[in-house]
Amino acid sequence: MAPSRGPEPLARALYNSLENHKGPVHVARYAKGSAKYVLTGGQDRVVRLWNPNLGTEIKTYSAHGYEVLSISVAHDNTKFVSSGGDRSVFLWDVTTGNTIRRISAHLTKINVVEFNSDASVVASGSYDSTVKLWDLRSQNRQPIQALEEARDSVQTLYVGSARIMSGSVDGHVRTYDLRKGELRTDYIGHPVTSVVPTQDESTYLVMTLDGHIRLMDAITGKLLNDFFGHAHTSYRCRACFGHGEASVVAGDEDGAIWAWDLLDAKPLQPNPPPRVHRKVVTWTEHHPTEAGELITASADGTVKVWRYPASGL
Amino acid sequence: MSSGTARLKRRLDEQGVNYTNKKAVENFCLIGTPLPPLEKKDANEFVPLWKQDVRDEKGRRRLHGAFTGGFSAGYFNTVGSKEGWTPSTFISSRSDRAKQKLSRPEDYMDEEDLAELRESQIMAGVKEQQERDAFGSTQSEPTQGDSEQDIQRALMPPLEDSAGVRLLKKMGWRPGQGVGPRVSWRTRKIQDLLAAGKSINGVDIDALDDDEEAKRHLYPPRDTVVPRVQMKSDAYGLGYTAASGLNEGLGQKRPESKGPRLAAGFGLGALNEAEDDDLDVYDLASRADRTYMPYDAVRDTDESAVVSRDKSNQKVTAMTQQRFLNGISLLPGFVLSGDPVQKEQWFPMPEIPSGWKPDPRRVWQKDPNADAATTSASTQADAFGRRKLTPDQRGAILGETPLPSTRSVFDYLSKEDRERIEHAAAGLPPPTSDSTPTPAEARPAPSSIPYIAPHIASAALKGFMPFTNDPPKQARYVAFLRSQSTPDHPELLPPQLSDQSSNAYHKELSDYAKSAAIFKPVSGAMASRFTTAAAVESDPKVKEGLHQPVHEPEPTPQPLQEEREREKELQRREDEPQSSKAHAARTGMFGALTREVVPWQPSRLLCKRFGVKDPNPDITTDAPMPGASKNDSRIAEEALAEANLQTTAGSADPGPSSTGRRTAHDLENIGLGEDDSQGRDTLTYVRPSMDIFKAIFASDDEDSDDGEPEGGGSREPSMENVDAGAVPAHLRMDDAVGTSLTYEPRSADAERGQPSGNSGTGVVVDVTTFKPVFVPRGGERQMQKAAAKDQKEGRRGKEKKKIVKAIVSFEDDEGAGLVISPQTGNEDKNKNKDKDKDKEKTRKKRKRRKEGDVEDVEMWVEKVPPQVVTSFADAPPPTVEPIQFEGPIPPPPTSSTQGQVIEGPARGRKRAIDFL
Repeated sequence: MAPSRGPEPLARALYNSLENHKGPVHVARYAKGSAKYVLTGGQDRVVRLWNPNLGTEIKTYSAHGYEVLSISVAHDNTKFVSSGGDRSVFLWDVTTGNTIRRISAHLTKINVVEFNSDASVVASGSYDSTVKLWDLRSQNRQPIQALEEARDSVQTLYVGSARIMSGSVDGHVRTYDLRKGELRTDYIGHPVTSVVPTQDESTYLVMTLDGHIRLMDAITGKLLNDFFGHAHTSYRCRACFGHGEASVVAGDEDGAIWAWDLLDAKPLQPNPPPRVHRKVVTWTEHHPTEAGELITASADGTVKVWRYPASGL
Repeated sequence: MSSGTARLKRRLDEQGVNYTNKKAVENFCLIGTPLPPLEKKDANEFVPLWKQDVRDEKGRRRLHGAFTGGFSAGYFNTVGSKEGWTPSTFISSRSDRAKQKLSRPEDYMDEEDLAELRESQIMAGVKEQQERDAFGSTQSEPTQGDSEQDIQRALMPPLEDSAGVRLLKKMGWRPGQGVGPRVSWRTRKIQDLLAAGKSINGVDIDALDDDEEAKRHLYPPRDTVVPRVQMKSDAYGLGYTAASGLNEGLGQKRPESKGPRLAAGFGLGALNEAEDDDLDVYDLASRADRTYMPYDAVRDTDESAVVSRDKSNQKVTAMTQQRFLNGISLLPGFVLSGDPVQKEQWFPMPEIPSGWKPDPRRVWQKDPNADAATTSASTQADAFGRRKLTPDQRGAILGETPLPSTRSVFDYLSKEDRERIEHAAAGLPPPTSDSTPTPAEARPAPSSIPYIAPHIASAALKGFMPFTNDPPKQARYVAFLRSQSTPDHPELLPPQLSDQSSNAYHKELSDYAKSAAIFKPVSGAMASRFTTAAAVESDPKVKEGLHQPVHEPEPTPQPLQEEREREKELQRREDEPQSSKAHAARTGMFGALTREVVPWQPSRLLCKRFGVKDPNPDITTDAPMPGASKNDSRIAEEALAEANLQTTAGSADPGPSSTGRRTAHDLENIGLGEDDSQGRDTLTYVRPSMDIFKAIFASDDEDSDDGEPEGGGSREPSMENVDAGAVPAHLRMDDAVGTSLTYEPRSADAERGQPSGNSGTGVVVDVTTFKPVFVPRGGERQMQKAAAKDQKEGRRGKEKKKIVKAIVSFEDDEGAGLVISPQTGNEDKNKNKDKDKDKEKTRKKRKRRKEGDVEDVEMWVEKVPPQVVTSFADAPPPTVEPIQFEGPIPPPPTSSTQGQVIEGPARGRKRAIDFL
């Protein structure tokens, strides 16, 4: 992390395009650890496992009866959870491709699921404006706890070591601090589509439907920076941090991928960025360790892997 | 079909016997085995199912007994017994783990399957080789005699030879011979000798055999002995003979010993087994054939084990694969480095002092301003010695120009305004500091003005206006509410009209107070289910009867406009708290304005799963939550709670009746429904004194029968002797002021949205005897009972004018749970008086029995029909009139009890018509 040098330029050379999905791809997640694989889920009701390096599809996980809206990978890469329109959370075994557990979690579609750090609890956020926490160590059908503070659909979740953050369409980001036993509610004012905290959890990135991405101070709730310029009015998109949290990357509804300098909030070159997807970019995720790798999922049915032009690996 | 049958047929034909005629061939004697039937049986002829059986090729029956579905299941052919196949019984592996035997597939095979298996296990090439070895001439040992081989060859069918063998045969080679030209008998003898490893020097070969005839012929050479190469199983170089120790050098044979070589000097007992320490570490020979495991090298500490594992792994991969992890092969001459590029850093665990317990609160308490982002926090260092800097401060140190958006609107506001905005944002009543005079003191006639909590008043302002058809009354109502919502401005109170008696004025105000309590917007849980409409609908007046079109003059725009303005104002007022937040968010002034901090209780299991200590392990701690100091409103609440405690302590003192009234849902009465008196008997059961037992069991006294079976009622007198400490505080009849007050801070707690279910009052409920009972519709009854009690006490002590009554209501909006509202239950008293008189008899009877047992009387008060609120307009009975509002100051509606709600008898919702 050397912010003094400024952020590294965004990897903008198309390395691979993963195109087996039919219909929009809603989510694309890197595996944990060295993140060699990518899991994607889309409107075609399947979860696909890819090798982004080779661009090959490794496995298909099909049990969902409705669209897949969210995926979360366990810390040891042996399991993942997915959720979507069928109102239940599916827990999968990665190698066998079977569902280990299906939790009938909510009354409406589940927008987001997230593991905790040791995959003992899974949190699910739903259109029914609740977040429910499920114990995976027991076979209990009741959630450990339901967080019902949200007044509208919960769009995004983050489960940290001792906090749970939820972003809702009611324009609030709620931070449930387990250690302190308090709930901090930050009013953003516009429907929140993604909340991504930094690694130290002292700040977080909020993407809202007013076409702004805000960097908020998690401790005081103040606004630290505001990133805008992209088109974002109606779809769930996700903004993420670039490598070393020196930049902010987000795809917009025109299919362009924007990048901003974290410190001065100026868009990185090229500005405006070229249109690389035909439809809205639904998910943007930077490689957790690799400096020059980035995946974007789009409603045009493709997931694209971006790297630097002369990437040697 | 045998030829015998055919011959018989032919003979019969010759004799002209028609053997198809049954009568002709009828046979009455039976000698010997009957011949098979002449006509061939159709193989596909129908046989009833029970006659059908399955046989294998050897004619053995298959499919026995119960098993008719498998191949060879059953007793005769396969596994199992006569009764059938017995599955192995379950044996717990817990007790005898060693005996557990895995069942192999072979256990379930019959001999055919086993044979098949054996066949399939022999590889095709191996089979051929075996055959060739067995019968071919390539066999290395020439030990077998020719004759023996000949016999074998004769017995066995000829084998297929390989092409080479066939070629050799065509060239004259025979199996068993060597390849090459024929040699003389003498040469052959020499070859034999050489093959046997003997020297030919000095041996007269010719003299070995005297057979002259043999010497005259040429013989095929002996077959070449194929050298057997020993498989190389050690790690030494080629040709190196392992372990030529000193003994071998001296020509002595090493003593053969089985088992590990032991170090000299230490004897082993007969019972001891050789262990690692006893082994001769310098024994090279035994080491040579020792297998090296990858992790053998270092096994000192965990850390080094990790390192060594990496290295050894790396060596293996380097030797075998020489590839990068992604499959690209290494350049020749390069070795993969064992060290990862980024080394993991290992830190030693910090030494934890004994007896240390994690207590994050201490840390938070150390720097309460960490979140406040005030400049005062800049110098504070947190628990880790780091400086807690807000981004602003950091930026200032670095000389950055502050971002325009980070400026807060607070910077432009005065302190009072700031506070007010905050409280408006939090939707809570503004706290009044202790220095400011309480509204009760400030108001000129505090006793005559009914009190409403400001937040209820302001909520009622937003809500439904009940007096829309009476604009002047409406205006007065609004004025009253405004005065109540801002307690600092009593001058806003609607003035007493000139033609209004003080009584009527008073009545009017109390009416307003009641309707405010009723028509405030829906509260708490209900509120979340509704959204307020953007525009207030003013319902048009509907005329009764037939509609007759009447030419009306054009309505003046003035009232409409007024109405519209009023609506606008209402609307503005309505979303004021919301808009302040929204406005702050819109202008980018995020921070304290847009942030709300409320306590939240994570479930215990969740804390466990996250590995986090439960933030509120026991709620009994009287200390306020440290996180509370974050927000000013929280401070206010705390102060409020404390003030509550004090004031109620003061006010409740003279009124002993207040103790029995407490219906807050705290630990003691959870599950009791609304009926406080339930389970009292069980709760207050105290072991009777020994005398009673003696009276029952020891002797046959006449008083033995009134010992126990009378139940709770008869046991009551003994209760009075019981030590007060043994009775739970909430059950004590009198003099329980101190303990009854302990729950009061929880009311503030409840306002914060935290159910005060487990508020610690220091009272221990005996869980074993505790019996939760649910009363479904207890609210009303509770009220009446309470009212009846008031009545009773009023009769008992006439001088007691002030009756403080706490009633739990869910009046608070903003998701608040419980509000303890002091209540002047005078009206009830009046109404109930007549009814109660009817019950006087019963009560007196009871009284005679248990004098002073208030609770019990209360238990027996019969249900009073619900109050009719329309009777507010009626003149109350004169006898009770003075009690109403003229008496001593009713339970102080001081500023510090703002969390409380003063209201009329909380009797459920009335219809609006009742107030008109």
